[in-house]
Amino acid sequence: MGEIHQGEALAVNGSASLGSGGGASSATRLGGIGAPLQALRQQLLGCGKSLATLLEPAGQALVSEASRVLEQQVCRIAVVGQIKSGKSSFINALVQDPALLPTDVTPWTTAVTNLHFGQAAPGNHAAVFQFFSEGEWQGLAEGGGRIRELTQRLVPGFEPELLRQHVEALRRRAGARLGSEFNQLLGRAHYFASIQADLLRHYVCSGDFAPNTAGVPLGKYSDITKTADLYCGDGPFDYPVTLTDTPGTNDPFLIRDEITRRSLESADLYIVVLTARQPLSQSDVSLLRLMHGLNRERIIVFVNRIDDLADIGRELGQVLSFVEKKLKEEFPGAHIPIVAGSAWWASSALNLDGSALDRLFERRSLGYLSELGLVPREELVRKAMDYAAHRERLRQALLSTSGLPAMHRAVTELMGSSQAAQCLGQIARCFAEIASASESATRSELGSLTDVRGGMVTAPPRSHDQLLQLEQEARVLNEVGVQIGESGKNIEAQLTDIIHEEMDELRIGLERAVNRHASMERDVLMDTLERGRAPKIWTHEGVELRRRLAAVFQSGFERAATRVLEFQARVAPELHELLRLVAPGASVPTAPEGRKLEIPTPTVAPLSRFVALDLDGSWWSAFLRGRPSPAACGAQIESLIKSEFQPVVDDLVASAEWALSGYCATTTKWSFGICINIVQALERRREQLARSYNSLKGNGEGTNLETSQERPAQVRLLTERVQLCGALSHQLDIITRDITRGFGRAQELAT
Amino acid sequence: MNEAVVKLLTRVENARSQLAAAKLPDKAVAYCIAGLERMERVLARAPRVAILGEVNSGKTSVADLLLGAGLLPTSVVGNTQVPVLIRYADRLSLFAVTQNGRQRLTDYGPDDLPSGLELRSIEVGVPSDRLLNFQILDTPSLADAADTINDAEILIWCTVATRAWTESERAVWSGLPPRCWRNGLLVATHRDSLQDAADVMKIEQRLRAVTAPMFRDVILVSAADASEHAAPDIAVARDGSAETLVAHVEALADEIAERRALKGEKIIRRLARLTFHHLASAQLKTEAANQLKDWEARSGALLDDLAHGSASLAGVIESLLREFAHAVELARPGSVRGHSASREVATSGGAGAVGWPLRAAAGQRFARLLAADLTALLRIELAHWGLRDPAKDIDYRMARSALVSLADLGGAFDALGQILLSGRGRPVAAAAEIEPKRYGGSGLLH
Repeated sequence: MGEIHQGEALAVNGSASLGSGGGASSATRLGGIGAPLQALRQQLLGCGKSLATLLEPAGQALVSEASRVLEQQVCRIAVVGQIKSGKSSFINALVQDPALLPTDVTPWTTAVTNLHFGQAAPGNHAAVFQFFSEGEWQGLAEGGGRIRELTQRLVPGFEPELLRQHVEALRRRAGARLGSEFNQLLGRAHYFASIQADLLRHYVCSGDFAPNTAGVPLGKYSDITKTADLYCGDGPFDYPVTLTDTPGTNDPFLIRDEITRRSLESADLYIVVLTARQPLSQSDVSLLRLMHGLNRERIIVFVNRIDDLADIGRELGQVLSFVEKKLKEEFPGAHIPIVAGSAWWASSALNLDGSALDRLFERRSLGYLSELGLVPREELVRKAMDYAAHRERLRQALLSTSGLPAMHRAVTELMGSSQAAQCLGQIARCFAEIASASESATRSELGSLTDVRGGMVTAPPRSHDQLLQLEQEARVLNEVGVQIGESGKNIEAQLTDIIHEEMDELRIGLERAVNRHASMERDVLMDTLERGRAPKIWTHEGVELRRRLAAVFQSGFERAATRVLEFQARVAPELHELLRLVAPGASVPTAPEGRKLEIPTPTVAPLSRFVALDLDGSWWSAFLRGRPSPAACGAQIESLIKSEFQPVVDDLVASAEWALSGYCATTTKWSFGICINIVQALERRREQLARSYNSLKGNGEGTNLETSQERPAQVRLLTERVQLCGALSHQLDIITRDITRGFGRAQELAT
Repeated sequence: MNEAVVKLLTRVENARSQLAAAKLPDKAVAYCIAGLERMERVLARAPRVAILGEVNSGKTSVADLLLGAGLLPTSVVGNTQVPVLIRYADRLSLFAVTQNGRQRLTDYGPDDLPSGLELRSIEVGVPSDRLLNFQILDTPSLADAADTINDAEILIWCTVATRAWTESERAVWSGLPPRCWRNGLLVATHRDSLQDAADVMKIEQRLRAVTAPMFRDVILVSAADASEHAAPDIAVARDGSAETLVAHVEALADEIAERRALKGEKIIRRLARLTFHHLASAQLKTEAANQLKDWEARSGALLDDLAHGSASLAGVIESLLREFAHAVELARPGSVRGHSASREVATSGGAGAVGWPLRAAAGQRFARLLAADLTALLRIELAHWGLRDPAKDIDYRMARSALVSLADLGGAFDALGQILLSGRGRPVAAAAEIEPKRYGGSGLLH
């Protein structure tokens, strides 16, 4: 459906760098982001492979499914911030390719750009640019989508003139740039097999105020490009990562702001880029508040552009302590790493040519390097750069003060406590359980095998009895298999009931919080109005309510999780009993105790949604003007708060339910899968024995040479299997501990 | 300072000292003197430049640039969370404004205020010639913009060039009334943080495009932070951006002063005329006062007719003038040439088309003003013999002369005469022959 543009560009796959980042010497290249997590993943994949050879079909299916999940793991990192805080420059520095994303002095990035590292490109495309669909474009073109919708709901009939103007401008420009092509492009995508240096400029740059150049105009497709997906080899990442560049927030061009907000939803980690000169302004704070739902252990703050500070040595400390203090106020109890640096310095270090040096020496910020003792003062003149050794020293100094190494460490560390790590931990535990279950099952098989051998040598005539006994065993086995299946269904039903009960409870709690807040706001507003102080600008205190809802959600979810875990712990002995009937020595998985990590708390992302009540003050005054009496105003506000937060409550409950039932489905599947695996093992052994007894019977009497020859090999095999399983569960325990330590570290730092 | 303002101020000062010299025990004069003093204060105040912007957008640096290097004691105002007003003074001086009013600070220590006093703003007097043309108000970024702009004629919005103009800035600025937009300058600071001239151009282009029509002009400056230099003399940006900024602000301040002079002149004229109307109203002997009362009753009745619509404007004016001629003849027989005190003058009617107001309300105002003027004129005639204290006559003449010139009434009376005479050649009321000129200007004294 799309078209393929071929170009004589650089290769994309492999380690080849995109764009023209060729200036970086290998000595300054940094890498290995996420290496510890990758090591754990590789080990787990290895364990999975070994495990698969030791298991019955039921177990094998479980393990191969888990392995597939492991292979597809990607850590998603979104880079967000206000316009002109240097997000694109920062990404270029982070992936050490100064020319990868286009940058400019005016707001430049228009589309959400996903950079995929360590992931195979679907269909071998190096770049895919997805255009808005007809419907999405209509939505934007007819009035800015969500903001418009929200405004409409708040003040019916109120036309946000500005937004309309922006949409009009966008439409005009798209028309002028694309002409007749325009209508054919909507809903489609452009695919490229390789990435040319200037390719991105046509899709993700606004092209505003750019000098006219020949050829394809800058930003030709930018107005209709929704997302850009680039497949970039491994970059500096050891673990598969998708890095997302967003247009800035706080853009007076409201539509871009809108696009950014929509892209914030689904990342594992967030890097919030601030500028040193205006760190954590009110708009940054509101961005962070909007992201409050995104778990707080998942934010890294990068204070960019420290080179803009007049006296870095003196001011940087003040800036950092200000940011730290402010973050503590906003997110009490959270550990948010703060890294300060300069993407410009990093890019300069990576490509330290003549013009980069010229620019560096135009600014006085370089003096900081000598203050730190990294470069002797006398070397900080342009002429000194004629010497390679001096250049190298400057390069190293720039790189270390650019914040890049610290950023790599911070990202690596945070990845250790991300959703990806959580997933790894869950798989490791499942593998460990199945390994240990398989170990005990094999052990019991081994035991009975030696029994049989003893019995057979001494009393061949009893083979008929043995056969009868085996048939009896087969019946029991069958029954147990059926019972396991039934009790599985039963347990699933009970778990579903528990979850439903708890979710109802959670909903009631959340709704109560919303209602209480709504009636409080109503009273405050009515009181203010009655005292004749009609507020010119009345701002709704949405933060308070969001905090409250987050707390209610947290406690409600924890209560539900505890009940689920307790129930599973009660069920475990039942299963055990059942299995003892057929395999006295077998161990069954028991529900873990006190391991809170077991059920990952879902994000409270719905809370970060922008509701009509968050709108800018001037819209409020229009709202207040329309209602005559204080009581009417109050009633209106009350119902508005309720109706605006109802979908938020619904989504919160849904996400909790999804997390819990997902967990239950997985654990139930694994527990019973493991049991079935044991039953299958027993069945296999029974069939084997039956075969051997039948052949004994056929021989009439005496020893069966075939079986007696087979047996020692069988015993050897099983002994090996027991040892292997033991080794695997040991290794998996270590992996689990390593993963848990990653979380422990994050929690330790938070307190 | 603006020339028109200086000229007006001189006129007002002269008139006021004349009025004061007359030493009349007259309420109207006292009010007038107080009013003129207030106008002088307003006119003498240089237009105020308020500097607004978000946190760390370079507001104080811009204040430094406007003031010139080294004069502002930054150590005092740095880190201050209240507005700082910098204005002209003969010598460096510092005031703290608290809920109790303004207080001079003898030594630099706004933090050493007695407890219970809440610092609201700081005023710094600086002997800099630039401050004769404008005052500077440096605001803390948290201040509510609406509070600070009330007294400011010129607004500067500071924004950092490398990030310039975000939605949050737009939201605040677009909430200000259009009057602020007309006299608003967008100043992008830290121009020196941009890499090259092309970037500077691009930024300026973008700012002009996205902020139109909310600013009068956009200027990029390299507002170097004073603290980063050891010597104060390099605090001025090296690329001439300070000069550009000052030139812009001075031009704007001049324009505002010019407008203010025009508006001030109008107000002063009205004040003087009103005073003229009420001058000596309680100073007449009984007989003279009765004659005045009689005229007031007659003219009042005529105005009522007009208000009720039972007479046309032209008719009422004609009648007013006729009544006036009659009253003047009574007050000083022989004043009206060729006529006795008789009221039977040929009426002409329908003199409507000579440029009198057409709308009813405006017509009534015009007639009322005319009646008030005529009352004042009649009072002058009566004062020739009717003052309770005849010795005061000369003082009243002096005051009257000052007021008439200040109110530009000579011109107004000329205009009245023109209207009357141009009545399409028709012989209008005898009043047309009263020689309006004899009441105007210096004629009164002769």
